[in-house]
Formats: sequence, structure tokens, C-alpha cells
Amino acid sequence: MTSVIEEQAAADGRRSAGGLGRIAAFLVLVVVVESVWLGALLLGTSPLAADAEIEALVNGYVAAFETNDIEGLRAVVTGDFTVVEQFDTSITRGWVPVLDEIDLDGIALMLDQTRTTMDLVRRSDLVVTGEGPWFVADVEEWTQERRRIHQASVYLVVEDAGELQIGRKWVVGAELGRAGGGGDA
Amino acid sequence: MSDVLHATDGTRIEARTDRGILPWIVGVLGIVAVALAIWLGMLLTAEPELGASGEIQSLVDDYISAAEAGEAEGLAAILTEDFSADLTFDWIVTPGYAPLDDADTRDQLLEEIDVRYFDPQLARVSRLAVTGDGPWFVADVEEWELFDYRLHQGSIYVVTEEEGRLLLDRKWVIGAQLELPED
Repeated sequence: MTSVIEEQAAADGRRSAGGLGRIAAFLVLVVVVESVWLGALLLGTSPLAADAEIEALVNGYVAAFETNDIEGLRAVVTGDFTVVEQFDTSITRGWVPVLDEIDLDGIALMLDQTRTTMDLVRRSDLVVTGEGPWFVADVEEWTQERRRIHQASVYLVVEDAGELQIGRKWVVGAELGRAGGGGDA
Repeated sequence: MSDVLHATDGTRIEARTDRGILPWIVGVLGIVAVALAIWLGMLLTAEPELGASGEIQSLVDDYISAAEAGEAEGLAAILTEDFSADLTFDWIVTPGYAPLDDADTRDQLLEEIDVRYFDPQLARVSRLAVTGDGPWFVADVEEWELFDYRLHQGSIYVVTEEEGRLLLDRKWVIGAQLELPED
């Protein structure tokens, strides 16, 4: 009697282990599929995403602008660099674009006269097309004192003597209201 | 690991099973699978930072599709009355990034689309980036093919809300014309 029960118990144990083995195999499969999917999401780049060199160049421009670093700007732009701006500002009140084109000296003067710095709040990933020149686009959200500034930008990146530089920048945007306060300025 | 059984006569029977550390492995795998599933779910449902909402994405998609297909009526339905398009392009015949003297008005654009002066075909477009809370500023880059040329361009769209509907109010295009590579 005892030996029958022992055999039965052993058989139950083997069946249980077999069941667990199938569950383990299934879970391994699930983990592998999830890992591959996650890897693709985390490592994958979107179509037309900026490569590292162009991204570093434009990031350098934005960082220099944020810190009023005119020499930092000079380091990443061409000698005939200009910015074309069309802004809906709190002075113009309403969607009446202000057309402006400034060269680097004009930017230096503007940064020198600006009493308050602009702070970058959020910025999208960069997207790029072209094979030289390259066209790079992003959107940015800035604050200056209590104003929020939303803008979309296109950068023209050119290669000069083997070095990438920003040749022009177009910015379109608006002051949309007070930072943190809501409502229009 | 073992199972303990008792025979009817009270004999204690310890039956060793073949499971070993298998239950532990199954437990750990289960936890890992659930954790990965949660992580995946968060990534798949997360709103992209400054990515386009579905409505703004659809609006710009409709604009690009109508422009590509030459559907003036479809285009007219998504433009404000004040819509204008500014084009700054480095053409092969006119090198340099000179803006057109005047922006295209809504009517001029619709006429150009309707009579099909050009028949550009969209080759690739990036995802959209959006900022603002009305108006919204949208940026992307696009590649078009036109005759034997490629057009690479960065685009900025201004989207406004009128009577509860999102419409395109302005568009800026900055780009260059390149020759298609020979096969």
C-alpha cells in the first residue's frame, strides 16, 4: 500500500514539475518578447531624427542663447548667420506677425540690452532632413520674467571646411500669457 | 523540495518531487514579465513630450495629403480665411535662401493646387512637434519629389481654433531643391 502511494506521490510530483516547466517556458517566451519590444522602443529612433553631430550643434546654439553667451553663439554659426523672426507679441496684441531679421551683431546687442534672461522650459526632439544643407526643426517653450513664449524653429545647417555650422534660423512664435498664471498677457 | 503524504495506516511518506528550484524560477519570471508589461504599457500610452495631439496631427496630415493629391476643396475646408503660406527656398535656378516677395494667400494657394502647376509627391515626413495652447506652433521636416528633383524642407504651421474647429492659419516653408541621384 505504502509503495503504491509513494509511486502515486512521485508521479504527482513529476506532473507538477512538468506543469511548472511549461509555465516557466511560457514566461521565458513572454519575457523575451517584452524585452525585444522594449528594446525597440527605447533604442529606436524616429524617422528623420537628428544625428548626434547636428543635435549637438543646435543644442549648443540653444544653450548659448539661454545663457546670453555671444561667444558660444559665434562658435556654432556662420559669419553671415541671420535669424528671421515672426512673432505675435504682447505689444502687437493679436496675430500680427512682426518681421525681423537680425545678424549676430544684432543678437549680441539684443542680449547685451536684455535685463532678464530667457529660460528654456521645454523643447521637442529635433527632426532633420537634407544631405547638406540640412533643415532641422523643433518647437520650444521659453519663459522670460512672467511671459511664456512658444515657438517653432527651423535651422539651416551647412558644412564649411568640414565643419557643421548654423547658417540661418527661422523662428515663428507668440507670447501666449503669463507663466504659471494662465490667461493672455 | 518534497511533498509529505500520509498512508491510511498513518505512515508518513515523504515523496521527493523533481521540481527543485523551478517554482522559484517561475515566480521570478512571473514578476519580471509583469514588470516589463507595466513598463511597456507606460511607454506605449505616454504622451510624447511636445508631440502632436491626434487632432493637430490629423489636421496637418490632411493638409499634406490634400496638397499632394491636388484636392483644393479638401484644402479649403481646413484653412482660415486669412491663411497665408510663406516660402523661402534655395532653388537650383535661383540659388540662395531668398523669400518670395509676397506670401501666397489662401485663394492663390487653392488656385495653384487646383490647376496642378506642380505635382509633388511626398517621399518622407517626420513626426510633428507642437507647442502652445492656442495658437499652436507645429514643426516638422518633409522630403518631396518633384519632377527629377528632391525638395528637402522644414515647415512651421500655425494652428488656430475658430468656432470650436482647429484650422491652419499660416505656414512657413524653408527648404532647398536638390537633383535626384542617378540610379
